[in-house]
Amino acid sequence: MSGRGPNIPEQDRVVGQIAKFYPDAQIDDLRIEPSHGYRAVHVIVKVTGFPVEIQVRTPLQNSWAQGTESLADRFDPEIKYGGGPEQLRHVLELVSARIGGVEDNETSLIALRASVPGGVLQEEFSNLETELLKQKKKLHEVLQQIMMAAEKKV
Amino acid sequence: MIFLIDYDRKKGELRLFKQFRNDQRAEAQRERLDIELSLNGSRASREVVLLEADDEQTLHQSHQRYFKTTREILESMSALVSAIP
Repeated sequence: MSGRGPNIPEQDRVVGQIAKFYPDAQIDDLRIEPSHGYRAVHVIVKVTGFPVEIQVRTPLQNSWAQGTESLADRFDPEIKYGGGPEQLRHVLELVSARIGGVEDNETSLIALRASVPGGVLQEEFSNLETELLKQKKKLHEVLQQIMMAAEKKV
Repeated sequence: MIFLIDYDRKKGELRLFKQFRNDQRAEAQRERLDIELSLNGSRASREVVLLEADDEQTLHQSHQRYFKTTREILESMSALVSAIP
């Protein structure tokens, strides 16, 4: 998935389309239980008898995965599997959790806006927007910290 | 399109980026194998892969780490967060 557009509902839609095309598809939702912070939906299908794993990610989930790969190259490949420098691993898991929170709130906002007529639930909208803003700010701060740490390790 | 990539993980360096048409799959596979064989046991930090994508831009988005520094990837993550309404 590319650009800002695709979000959780779009990710769910793509997974649903694949599952429709491959009725025996096995779906592994790593958004519910991320693997050391890694979030995505993996769909395993059989193509001419061979299992093929299709990884469906939102742009944010993909950025996290790409960034972690890059940091793993730089610091320690074990970061991806729960090893490596504890502090960095902790920060990456924190970023992942924040991404989960931001995407969940974005999903709630989309659903609420689509389901209610204008002027209703304004307070709820406003609360969700405030929460989303807080999470975004925190995520920016943590990303800045990782960037600074990565810069030092040249 | 088919893309042949030789990436040095330790150096964070893209050593080779070559594009093939879809009907050149056998040629791309041969070249990949040649590189693998030439590395012969010394490729601990090298990734030699064939990837398929509609175009180069799509590949830059799906496999950012071959083309961007860690900082650039994190910056694009920040930009994505900012773009959330």
